[in-house]
Amino acid sequence: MQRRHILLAGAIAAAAPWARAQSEPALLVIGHAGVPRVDAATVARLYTGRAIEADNLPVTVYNLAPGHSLRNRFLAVCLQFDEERYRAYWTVRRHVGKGAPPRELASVAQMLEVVTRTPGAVGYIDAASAAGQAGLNIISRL
Amino acid sequence: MTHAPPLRRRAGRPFPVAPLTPLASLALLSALAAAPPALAQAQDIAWSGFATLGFAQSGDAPGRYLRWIDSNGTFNADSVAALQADWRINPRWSATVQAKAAPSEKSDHQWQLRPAWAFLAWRPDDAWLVRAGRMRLPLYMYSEILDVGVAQDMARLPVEMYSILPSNEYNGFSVGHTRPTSLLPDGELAVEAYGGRIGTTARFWLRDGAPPQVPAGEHYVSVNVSTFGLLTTLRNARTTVRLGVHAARTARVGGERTPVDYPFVPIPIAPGLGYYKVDDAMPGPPLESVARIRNIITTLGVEQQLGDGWRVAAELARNQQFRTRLGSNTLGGYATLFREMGDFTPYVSVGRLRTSQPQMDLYRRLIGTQLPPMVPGAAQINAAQRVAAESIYVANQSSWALGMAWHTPWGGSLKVEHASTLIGETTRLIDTPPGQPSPENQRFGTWRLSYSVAY
Repeated sequence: MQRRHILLAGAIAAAAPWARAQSEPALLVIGHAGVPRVDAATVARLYTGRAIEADNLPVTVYNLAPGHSLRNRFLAVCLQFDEERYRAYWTVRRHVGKGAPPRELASVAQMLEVVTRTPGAVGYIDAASAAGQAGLNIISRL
Repeated sequence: MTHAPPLRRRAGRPFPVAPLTPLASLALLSALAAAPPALAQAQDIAWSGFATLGFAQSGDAPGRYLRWIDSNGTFNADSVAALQADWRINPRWSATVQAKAAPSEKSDHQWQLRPAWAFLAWRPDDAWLVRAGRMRLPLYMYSEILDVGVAQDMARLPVEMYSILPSNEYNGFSVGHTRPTSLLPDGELAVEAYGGRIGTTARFWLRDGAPPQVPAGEHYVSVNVSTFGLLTTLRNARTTVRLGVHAARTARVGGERTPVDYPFVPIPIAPGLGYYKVDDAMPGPPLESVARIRNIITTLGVEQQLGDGWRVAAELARNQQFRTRLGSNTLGGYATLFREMGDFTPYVSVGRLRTSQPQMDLYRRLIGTQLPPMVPGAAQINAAQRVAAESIYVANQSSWALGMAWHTPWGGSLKVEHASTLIGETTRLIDTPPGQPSPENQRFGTWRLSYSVAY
């Protein structure tokens, strides 16, 4: 009996991060009208500068500013990076002449505005922020 | 060696290079950094920069090591600062300019502010990257981050590997192709071809010189290097393997030719005595010379994550000299073991650099052939032979180093290292003081302390 309790406690503990993740709204990668759907691996390649295209269409990716909680979630979920590691990655990449990090925007509202009005733009928001936004082009769900 | 020369514009005029004090260099970069916000908004320019303030000291080196390191210590050996602007023109096109302040290649007492990067990049698709302009020569595994202290954990990349060329920038083009590969899990394979010209200055240290024509001390020879190469990099999150083959043709600026060899000239009236003809002004057969010398440099680098924070990096370079028996013909490399422990990364490293036998033999014969004082002109001939020997660029040394990098909570990297270097028969990396014996089979230690930042 005691053994069953231990196993149950272990199972709950193991499931807790998953349960937490489920309680958070999904991350949506959004694109300007006409940007095609992409998989999570492509999103990761776009935000690390290893790709510039979504299905052969050149795109410009936007990030939220450092310190924004949604940016932290996006880096963790999409890239398995924390802020420090992401900045370190780009510090090296930009100084080896392989490009500059994505442009940064201060808020989700600004992200929605820039992606909506900029051809080829790609950004991300959470599902809660997407509520009431008509005509959003969701190109990936993370 | 591929003595390298001052970088040149297409029109053949040297880039403007301003001699600066370290303080002036840093002040100028700070002023440039203060300007960007307005520009960045207008032109979508991303600004970044990096700097290292490094102090190095050796209490028992038999002369100045790596130009500056002695018992007084120096900030020149490891300090550098740079400001970079990346102009994101559109997803396919970008331009990068980097201004770097660092000790001058042409003087031991000045700093220079010079464009280290200035290139236009074009990505026709995800796989291809084409660049043209001034770039970093991709000679070593860590060439691109050579100056970026926060990007690697060693206080200084091992000199036994990272001293092939006095300059690491070239003007030219680069074409790279990257594609996924099944050779490694989640791996990618990158192939890069490049070509261009390097203008740089080779520094020689002449212990005694040959007064009055050649004074003792440091000498600088400007050279032009035409180079092209091909490198292949296989990598994934845990492994990097890099193989490069680089060809270089080196000519002295001004058209001065390089001797192929120094013939031995016996003195007829003194059997058993003779000298090496090292200058056309000396009696003897004509000196054979070439307008350009050629080098093939083959490099291999490996970095492997071993798990539990352990990591190993190793590189090897074979520098083959052609068309002359003078110059650099070396085998060098190192291996470093790192252990990441939170914010601290201690490491231990061993490195070795050896000059090939033909160059060492010639060096020995030039140094060892001494005419007795009763021969007319003996002193000048002996001095000229020594100058010629010191111009061969021989190096025979090995080092071990123990160091640690601390990734500080306020963003930079603080590093400390102690290295112990054993000089073999001789090494060009030591400036032997005038009148002192050349260091041989001697060990000395070097301390380094540096703080690096990037933003």
